Amino acid sequence: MKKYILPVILLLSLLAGCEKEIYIDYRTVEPLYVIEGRISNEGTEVLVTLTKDMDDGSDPTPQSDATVTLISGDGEIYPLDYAVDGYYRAADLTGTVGQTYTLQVEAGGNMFTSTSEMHGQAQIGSLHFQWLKALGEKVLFLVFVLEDIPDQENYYHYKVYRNGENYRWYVMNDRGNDGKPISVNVFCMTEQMAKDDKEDDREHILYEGDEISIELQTIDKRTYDYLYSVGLSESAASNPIDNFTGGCLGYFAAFSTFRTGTVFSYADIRE
Amino acid sequence: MDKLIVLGALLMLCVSPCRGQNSHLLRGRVTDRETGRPLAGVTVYSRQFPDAGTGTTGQGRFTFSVPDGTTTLVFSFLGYETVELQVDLPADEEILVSMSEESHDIDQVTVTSRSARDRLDNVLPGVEKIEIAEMAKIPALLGERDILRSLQLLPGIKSEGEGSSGFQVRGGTASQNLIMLDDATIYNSGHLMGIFSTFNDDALANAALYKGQIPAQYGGAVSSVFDINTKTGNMEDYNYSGSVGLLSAKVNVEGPIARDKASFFVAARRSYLDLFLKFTEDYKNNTLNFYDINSKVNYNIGQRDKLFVSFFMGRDNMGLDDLMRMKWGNIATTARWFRQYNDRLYSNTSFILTSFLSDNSIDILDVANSFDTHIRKYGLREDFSWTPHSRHSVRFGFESVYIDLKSAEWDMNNYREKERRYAWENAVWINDEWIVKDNLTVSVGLRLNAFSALGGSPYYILDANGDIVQTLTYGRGDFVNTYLVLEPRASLNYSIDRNRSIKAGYSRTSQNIHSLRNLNMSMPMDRYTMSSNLVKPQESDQLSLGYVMLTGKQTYEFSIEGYYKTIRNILDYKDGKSFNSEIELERLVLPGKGRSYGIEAYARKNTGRLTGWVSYTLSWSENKIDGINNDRWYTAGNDRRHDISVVGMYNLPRGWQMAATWVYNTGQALTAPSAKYQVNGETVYYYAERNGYRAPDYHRLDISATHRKVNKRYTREWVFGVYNAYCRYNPFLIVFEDDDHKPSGTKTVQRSLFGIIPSVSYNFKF
Repeated sequence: MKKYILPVILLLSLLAGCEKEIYIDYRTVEPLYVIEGRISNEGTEVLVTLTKDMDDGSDPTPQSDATVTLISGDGEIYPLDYAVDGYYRAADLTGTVGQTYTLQVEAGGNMFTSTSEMHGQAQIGSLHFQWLKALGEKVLFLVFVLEDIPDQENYYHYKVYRNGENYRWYVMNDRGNDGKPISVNVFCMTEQMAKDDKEDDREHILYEGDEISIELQTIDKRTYDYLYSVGLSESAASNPIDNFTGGCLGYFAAFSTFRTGTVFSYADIRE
Repeated sequence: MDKLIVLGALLMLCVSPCRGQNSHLLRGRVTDRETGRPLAGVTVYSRQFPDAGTGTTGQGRFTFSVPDGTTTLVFSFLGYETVELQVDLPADEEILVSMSEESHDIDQVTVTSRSARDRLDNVLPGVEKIEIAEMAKIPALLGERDILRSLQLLPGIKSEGEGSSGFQVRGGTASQNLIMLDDATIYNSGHLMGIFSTFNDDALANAALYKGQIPAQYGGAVSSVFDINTKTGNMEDYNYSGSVGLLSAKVNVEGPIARDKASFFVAARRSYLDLFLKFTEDYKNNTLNFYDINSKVNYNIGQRDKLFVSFFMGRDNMGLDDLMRMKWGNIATTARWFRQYNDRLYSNTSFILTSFLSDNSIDILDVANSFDTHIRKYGLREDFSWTPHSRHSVRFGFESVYIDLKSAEWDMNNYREKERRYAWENAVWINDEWIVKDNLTVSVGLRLNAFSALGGSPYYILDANGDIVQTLTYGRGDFVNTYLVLEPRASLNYSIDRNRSIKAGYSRTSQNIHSLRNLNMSMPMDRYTMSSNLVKPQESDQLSLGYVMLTGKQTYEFSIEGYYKTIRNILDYKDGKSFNSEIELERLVLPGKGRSYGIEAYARKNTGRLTGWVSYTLSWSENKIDGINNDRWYTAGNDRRHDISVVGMYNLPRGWQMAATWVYNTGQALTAPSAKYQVNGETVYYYAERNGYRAPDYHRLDISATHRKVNKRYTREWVFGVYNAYCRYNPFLIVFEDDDHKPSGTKTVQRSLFGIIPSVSYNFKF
């Protein structure tokens, strides 16, 4: 529902305005651990890094000296070995629907712990691109239909990739639509942006032949709450909620993934 | 010299309460001192009864009914010296007043504004009486005169942010102000997302802002009370005026319904940006407009009774094709019966209805969302003024209000929910203004506020995570719980001599309607809630101490005032929660406390060709909410260390008047990151402390030139203005973005709202 902000920003930007770069003397903090752990039907991996100062490059600082352990709900313990670039992996370990997993990471003398329950797979029924006329402009949306799993509360995290790179992501739930197909609109670009082809807009502009893929993760409520707060973080200028105990950033999720994709072509866009 | 002496204008040294026997109809005529021409549109009101103001007609005539006794009439008009006239009623003859154009030589001026004297003598520290005519001279954004924007130039009052008419008083937020229009509360008082206020200054007679020491007859706000009175219509003649600006047009009509018995006043304003949109192919299906209507009917029932009925409606409509619709605004109606029982006692009985709504929807492809909220209040108010003795003026009364508040109702992609609650709020008060000695006046008051949350919708017991442990159901009308707050108010004014006084005050106030904002400005997505079993009333304690002095001829005026304020039970969203995270608002918020303190200095020149003021505010504002900022005190989002406003108005010959304002403030508190990391390959920022940084400083110069021509039958005025004259791009929003071209990979971007904005408008009166 950040959508309501959109017209406000539109209106305000109509009233002239200007954008310029400013310089802030950022204070630094002791680097904090950041953990991203996932277990899914596709495999298991955990990334351990440290935060960077604002004036340093954005690439995360990988940490290779952590002890990473995954514990399943029925008591099985899976140690994860260090692979490369901060990633810890367990060969061929995939999650089981219904299991609650606990991730324990020991690093720098701290113990970080989080849990997540694995939910079943949901599917994407159809996807297409569509123009929408608004304000004398044509706006492009990627529209897909999610087939909700009936008779349970579901939370979803979808990720859209363009040529393998992150393009869009969002989290949603099935409140009010239990078991029904749920239509999802993903804003892509305006026709004008594509015509002007400005450098600043290239992260949004889709080009003929771009490979578009969607990953639909069925996540649990803890993960949903965390990712929802990540989405709010920047506009609210507040940190996402804690997902781990022990004082680190990041999150751990057990989920089922469904993947689909298409190739972007102007000829296929529906009016 | 004598040509500047205004007929009969005598200054009263102190306000003496009215002790008349009956109401009496005053008739009069206002003319230009030099030309003898009648002046139309002069605001006339009584200091003692400011809620009965009026304006003069095209023939300069006014009629006006005030209780007998001694009263001070105030005549104010753009470009003219304000005149104060003390009259003893009943007065049978017509009152003739001639007003001089402002300007001329300082030495020659013999009549000065009463406002300066009033600021010195008022027993309450921190009161701003707003002279509408003076405010009208100040340069305005897009030529739209705006009382709430002008207010922000006074000490201790800050703008909510660039481009906002919302104001913040002494470290409080805009939602902690009570704005009353003819006794009815107005919520979200902005048009166009708050760029303009909903108050049409043509309809206003006078206004007073209480920054801290609030008299006991007012309650319901922990920061300030802004009490606005609209004009009443002329009893003798019809009078028309209007204006055409870049953004909107206004029309005002007033006149008698029954001569000497009843009259009406109507002011209407509408923006017409969207009328131009209709002619464009691309934008013809869009809506973007606002309008407001102020009207008032007054009826003299008899010698002792008068009836006033006022109606206000303000609306904003925005729509983008069929995709999106936003609509919000207020309707406020007050029926007030003034009754004079005897020469010592009169009362005002009011029935007040307020209805605020915000209704928004968005419908894109197959996805539909809607969100709406409302506040409805039905109230009865009885306010007595009693003068048992010449040294005592007592106000006492009660108020009873039924509140129906919908914190939200939404349909999010087929998911419907709503939260709507009811409450009954009652208050009784008594306040005595006592002239202890000739140089010492004290005001002592007590207000008892009782707020009862009523059943009819669910209440909850929550656990520490905000999850519902138990749902409590009460029948419609059952009492859920009641909060009693006893609010003492006390202040004193000690006159060192005729031109110097010291003031001090203490007051406690409380507030039971709470507003939650996502951004630091008023938006249609604001949610409101009331005190409940979980949410406690906000309570504020404020101490202030001030010193006021005038120079001998009241040409200059200086004041300095310090304050210290604490507030309990303020609410803010939890981290990671937004207005629509849950329908049960109590699950999204955390309670905490705040404190603010500061010093306000004010220097003012009241007379001469050049008038104006300089105000400076040094202030601090902090909050502490468990669960935010590691439970430590943090700088409040609206904290700004230094605020400076300079206002100058200069009269030139041949009807020209120039005005300029310059404002400066230290950058707004800003939460900026201290580190960054990645989640799912996207940059996320780490915020080590809330509001630990500062946005760049803000400053802006606005100028205007007004040319007025008084013709025999009508007056016309051209107003030319430039907002942000040296085109400073001030911070509106600061964002952090990835930038692959920089070694740090991050850039900090400031977005600004307004560059230089010229404007022109045309006003007429006949």
